[in-house]
Amino acid sequence: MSENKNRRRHKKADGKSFIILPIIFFAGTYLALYLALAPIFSTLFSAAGMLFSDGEKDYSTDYKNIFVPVSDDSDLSSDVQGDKQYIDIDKIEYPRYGNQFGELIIEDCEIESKLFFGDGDVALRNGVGVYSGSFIPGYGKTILVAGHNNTYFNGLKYAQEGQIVVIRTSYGNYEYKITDTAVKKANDRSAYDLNADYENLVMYTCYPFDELGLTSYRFFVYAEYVSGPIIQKNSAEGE
Amino acid sequence: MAKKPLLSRIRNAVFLIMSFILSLVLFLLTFSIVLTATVFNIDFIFSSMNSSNYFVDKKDEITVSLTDLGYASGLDEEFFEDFVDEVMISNDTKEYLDNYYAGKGTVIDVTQFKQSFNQALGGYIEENNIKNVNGESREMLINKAAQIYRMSLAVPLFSKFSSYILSAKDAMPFAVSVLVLICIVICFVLVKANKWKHRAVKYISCAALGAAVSTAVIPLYLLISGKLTHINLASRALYNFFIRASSDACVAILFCSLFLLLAGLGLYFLFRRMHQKVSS
Repeated sequence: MSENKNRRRHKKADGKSFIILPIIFFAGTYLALYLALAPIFSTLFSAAGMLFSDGEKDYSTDYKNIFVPVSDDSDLSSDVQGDKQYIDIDKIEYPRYGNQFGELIIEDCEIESKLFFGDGDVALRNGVGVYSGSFIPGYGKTILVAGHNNTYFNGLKYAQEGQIVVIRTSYGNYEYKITDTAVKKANDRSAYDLNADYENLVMYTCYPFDELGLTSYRFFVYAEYVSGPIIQKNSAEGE
Repeated sequence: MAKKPLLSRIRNAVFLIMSFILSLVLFLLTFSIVLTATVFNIDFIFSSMNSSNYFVDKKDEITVSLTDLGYASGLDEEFFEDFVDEVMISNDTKEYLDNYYAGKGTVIDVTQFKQSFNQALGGYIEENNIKNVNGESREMLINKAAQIYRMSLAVPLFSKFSSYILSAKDAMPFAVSVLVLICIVICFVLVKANKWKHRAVKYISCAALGAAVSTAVIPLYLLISGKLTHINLASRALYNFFIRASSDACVAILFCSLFLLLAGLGLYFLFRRMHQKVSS
């Protein structure tokens, strides 16, 4: 009787070990792997962090349009001091890279183009783009705008001093007056100053115009601020 | 119940450790075999490219990039419409991968591309009677187009990890042989050293079941969590190819895991039969 009991207990224990042992082996395998890879674990994790993102990548070539035209007489400004209008930064939707946030018009040069934030392929395929390392109109700094010379900025060849450049955005309409044009090397960093503490517009495209091929020269058009709401930055940002 | 003698306990512990090592080796063997059959197998890479529509997507991507170049250089969109085709991309990719896996480097030969581009450009200039052409600008355009083509075909990080990948690939047959040998030796020792053969079967069965669980965890996590789809790749063609190839590799690991599970279960039933015989 007791021998039968013993046998049954033995059988039960054996059956359990077919579940417990594989689980222990599984844990042991990963523990061994962890110990073996511990020295390079942080490197592996940071590499994986770079390779993988939180969501799936969007491969669509569409762009987001946040531009809602405002009429010249509409009042979006929060403050008016003399001739100048001011708008609070919290009241504007700051564009993200690739967003169409306005349009750029130079009537004298027959230029009327969508204005993007960022000068990537999608932006320059559909219009002209503000270099993302520069600033948006109204920010009181340099706005560097690029475009292809065979498409939207072909008309820049007609640019002359005194012509007016209009930039329309959802938070206000801006005017700039062309002050100068110049042909410079593409890698000439003195062609513009991104650290300037005054509002100025720099537009550039490849030069010469209407030539087949790529060139290392750029045609720069410089314009000064005339009108448009000035963005009031929060004090925390360090005006 | 009488206590087991010390020697018997030590023997049991040694057999358990051997069983664990067998499980670990089976785990490593599974991954080594799957890596050899997938990542280090040019035929697998190429068939994954074909089944993920890599060449069609790549053609579209290169055409779009070249068309953008056209906007900057004065070439019409039509010029690039059928300039690159799937066959050209497929041949150049094949050559690139062959050279890579043969250890000849990651250089993509664009001589043919440059010649075709130059020829097509000449035809375009003549056809449109374009006079405003500068030799230097034309050269820059051809070089830029070739650079776009070369960069589009290159697999990111391939060149960076080239030495690791190639060393691993070369070492893999040796590693597989060694792992197989270790498995055989452990099984042999377990069978020979156990007076009661059903015990040896038990240890081997547990090792197989442990390896089945261990190997299944990683691919199951990757497939269920959808982590693979979160990879950051600039090219959609490459992304689709990566998803296809890595999913196939995960499925291959799962098949190996299933095989180990079935082997483990088979051995379990064998153990029961042998145990019953011994008990009776």
